[in-house]
Amino acid sequence: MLKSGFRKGILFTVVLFVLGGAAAFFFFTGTDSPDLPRESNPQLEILFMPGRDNPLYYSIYEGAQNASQERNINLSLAPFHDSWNSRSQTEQLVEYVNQTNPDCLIISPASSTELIKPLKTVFKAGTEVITVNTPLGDGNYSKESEWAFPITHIGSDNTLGGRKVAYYLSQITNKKGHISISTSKPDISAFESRVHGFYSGISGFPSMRVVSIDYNYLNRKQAFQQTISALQTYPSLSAIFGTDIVSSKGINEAIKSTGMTGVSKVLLWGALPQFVESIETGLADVVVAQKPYEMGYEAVKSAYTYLYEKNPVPKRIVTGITLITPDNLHDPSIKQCIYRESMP
Amino acid sequence: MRLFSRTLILFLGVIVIQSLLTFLLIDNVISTVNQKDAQDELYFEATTVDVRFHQAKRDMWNGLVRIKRSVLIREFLSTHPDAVMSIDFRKILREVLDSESIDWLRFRKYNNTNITQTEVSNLNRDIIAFDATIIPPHDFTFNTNYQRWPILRVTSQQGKSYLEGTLLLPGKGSEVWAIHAIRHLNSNFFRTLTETPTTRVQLYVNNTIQGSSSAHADSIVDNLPKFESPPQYSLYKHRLDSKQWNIDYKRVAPEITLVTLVPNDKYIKRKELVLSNLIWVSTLSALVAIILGLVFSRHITMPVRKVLHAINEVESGKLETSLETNSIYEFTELSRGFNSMTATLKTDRDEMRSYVEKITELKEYNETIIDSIGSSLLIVGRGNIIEDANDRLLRQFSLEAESVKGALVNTCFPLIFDSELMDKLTRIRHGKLQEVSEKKIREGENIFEIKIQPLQKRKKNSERQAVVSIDDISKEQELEEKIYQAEKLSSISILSAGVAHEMNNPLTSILSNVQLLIDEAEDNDLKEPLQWIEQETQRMRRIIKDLLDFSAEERDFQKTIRDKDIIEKTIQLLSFSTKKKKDIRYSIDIPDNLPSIYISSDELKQVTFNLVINSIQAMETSGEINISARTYTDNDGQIIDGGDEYVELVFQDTGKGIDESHLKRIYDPFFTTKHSGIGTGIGLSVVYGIINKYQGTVSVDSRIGKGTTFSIVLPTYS
Repeated sequence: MLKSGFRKGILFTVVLFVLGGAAAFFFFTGTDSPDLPRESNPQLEILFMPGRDNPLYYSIYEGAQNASQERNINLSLAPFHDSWNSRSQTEQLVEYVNQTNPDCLIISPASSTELIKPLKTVFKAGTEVITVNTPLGDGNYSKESEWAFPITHIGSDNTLGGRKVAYYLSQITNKKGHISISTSKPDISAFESRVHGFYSGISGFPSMRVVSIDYNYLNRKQAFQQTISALQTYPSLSAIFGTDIVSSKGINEAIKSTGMTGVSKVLLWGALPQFVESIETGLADVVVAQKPYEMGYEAVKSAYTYLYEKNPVPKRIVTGITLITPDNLHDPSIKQCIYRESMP
Repeated sequence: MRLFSRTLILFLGVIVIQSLLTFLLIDNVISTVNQKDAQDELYFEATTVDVRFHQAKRDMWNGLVRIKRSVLIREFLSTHPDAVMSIDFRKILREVLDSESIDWLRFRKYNNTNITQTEVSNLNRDIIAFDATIIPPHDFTFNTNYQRWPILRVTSQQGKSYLEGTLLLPGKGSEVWAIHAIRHLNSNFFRTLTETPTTRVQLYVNNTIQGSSSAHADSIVDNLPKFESPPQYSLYKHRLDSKQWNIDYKRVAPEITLVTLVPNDKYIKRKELVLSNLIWVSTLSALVAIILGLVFSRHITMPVRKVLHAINEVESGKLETSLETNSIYEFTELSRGFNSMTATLKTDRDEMRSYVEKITELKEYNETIIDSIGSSLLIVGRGNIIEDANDRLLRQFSLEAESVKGALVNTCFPLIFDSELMDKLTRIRHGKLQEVSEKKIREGENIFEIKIQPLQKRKKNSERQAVVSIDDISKEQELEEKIYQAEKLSSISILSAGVAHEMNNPLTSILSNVQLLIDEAEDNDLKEPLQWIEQETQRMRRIIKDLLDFSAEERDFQKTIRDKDIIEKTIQLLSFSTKKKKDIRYSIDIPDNLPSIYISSDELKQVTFNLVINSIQAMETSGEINISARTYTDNDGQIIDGGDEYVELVFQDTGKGIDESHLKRIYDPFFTTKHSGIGTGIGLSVVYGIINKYQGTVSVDSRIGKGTTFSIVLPTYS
């Protein structure tokens, strides 16, 4: 009897320890993701100011929205603008920052130079700044400069994107031909980086030459006319490269309008659904897909890390670039690169 | 299964398996290579078609751009608006265009800027055709989407496809010129798109074929996917005109697909060719394997067979067998080794044979020695078991070697080896006794001398063997006795002859005087004693005469004596004298043709007389006396009846027999068992003396109560 009772006692003690250990484990670790804040934390206020009203920013916003919901962050959205320029964006900036008094501003500057001052004012007023897609200055915030105040810049490697496009073009044109570039503004470093990247890409192919660079200043019709003009000016024009969505739209329409489908290779920037469809219909040959969802998500996540968790954030977060071509058009992974057609 | 067959089957099996694997591998490789080559070719052809098709568009575009920018054309149209069909304008156009990208042009002037409402009354009126064979259809519907930059489109009308370009060109004042450039996309056009003549090109508008490089517009659209993802290509899937085609289709404009078809025949043929060649090569390989197998067998299995054959020869004892050493290296070495081995074997065998022969000779020699030894020998081993016996022993005792060897000594020779001798034999084998020599008389038969000696010990601590010699010394014993008897009788004879000779003269004197006295005596009393003296003296003279006969040396060689007559007459005389006293039956069995013998008739008579008298005296009242004779030859101890060397006379009676203790003395003179007056004891001595004189022999066999048999053997005259 004594022995039996002793054994039962030991068994009971062991079970008690096991249950207690399990309870302690769940109590201290919790069942939720460790990245998510507890409800008792004070809410962060983040304001997202997009660029133009286009699918790129829809997707950025979708990523930011999902990241905010996961972290119980209050995300505000400033209205989209048809004309995306420094002046209008500065006005909007003042209005909405004053209105929402955010902890952090996520913005795609319409100008890499002209938006430095107003954003710095906001920053000094206590709002942290994160730039997405288009940076301030040269986008290098790790060096001390007047534009180095944002927490980080999140965007794709535009130079690499331009280089990738150039390399792909060299493959489908037998490494030769005249190229026309249509871009928006010379003061947006992201677009300029793409141009530079493209130049860098064709530099290894002497028979490939850029015969014209046309700035449309974010005017699609101008891009359209410039494309038609280039087609008439350069009889042997082998490719037309649009460095941004506006330029690409103009090119796409011009090709469609003139019926010059397939005559010159068409390289479009931005995985808009209509661009992707243009590949199917032969209007375009390659579409550069950034990962705007990742940009928005990483921006909110970085703000949370920096402001709430008080942890350092890299000054540059690079999101990937994918080329959508006729060869990979129907790959399942490509669908994830296509931008949203509307606001989430 | 033999080595060659097995090897050949193995080779063929390997080749078959290898061929199958190679077939599968090459089939896979060719399929892969074909796929790649077909894909590369298709890509190249499709790219060429695509480039050339779009070059045609570019040419038209550039042509229209040149028209738009041509000052000459503008001036001509401003100054001669109604002369667009003139040769001069045509020359200007040719200078400006300098291209074959446009089949014909239409210039139409409008005064109203709203040109879309202008009705075209006569289509061909303002058309400039550069190729008279190409005439636009009558009701061709022109594109009315005019811009100040060229606009191109691919259009299909009445089953034909065209590349159409439009351009709006400002004229004089409010006038504008609507310019249409047309290129007929006929089969010739599509053929110019391809690099290879066999490549086909088809143009589909909304999945309907509108142009083709082939004369007849064959459609494969039913077999094609719905152009969901240009460009697409398809390999080895489509058949058209009983051919297989690799197909690439590419969207060149919304709803317009350019399809490039490259025949797949050469890849199929290449695969078939390679595979058929592979089958041939495999078959050839199999044949080569068989041939190689045969060669292999000649060079390997044949030598192996030769080796096997040689081994069989060697097994059968032919150690002279040798192998050729002019084969391939390994077999040369093998053959050399084999030959060396057989040579060694042969040498060893010859030596062994020599040894065996020597051993056999030695054994036979030893056995001959043993067999030739006058003794009967036994080798007795452990447990007193006979290990060997020589032939003499076997012959002597009429035994078989198999029954002797392994048997106990006293089992084989129970009368000789009694317990005492067995004990001695055992002791000798154990080294406790040096040797034994004994005489044994087998009951009623011969006399044996037994000698037992230990065999030299071959190994230490091993039980000794013993050599037993059993000699039949009956004859020697008999001879010794005879010699003894002869010597004894000779001494007696000499003594008797001397005594008789010395006594004969006095007796003669006594007898003469006594007879004289008797004649003179008249007194009977005196006369009777004198007569008694005379009788006794006469008896003494007879005795002396017998003694003299016993010792007589002279021989009477009568050669033609007839034994039978002498014996029969003697018997008749005796039977007559004994007829009244005893009932004795006589039988004489003597052949008529007996050879002559060395004996005188009187002596033979005397011998017969003495022996028969003894027989008669041995019978109480009746009996039988049988006298027989036979001839024989003594062939080295073997008696052969009917020979002519000896004559044996046998006197057999059924008397009371002679005691064994008396047998040795019966020939002694004056030895008698009879009562005094019946015999003098000198009869048998006389018989012995006579027979011995003629080198004959007298032997006796007597059994108490049964009778006595005397055997007299005399050599024949021949």
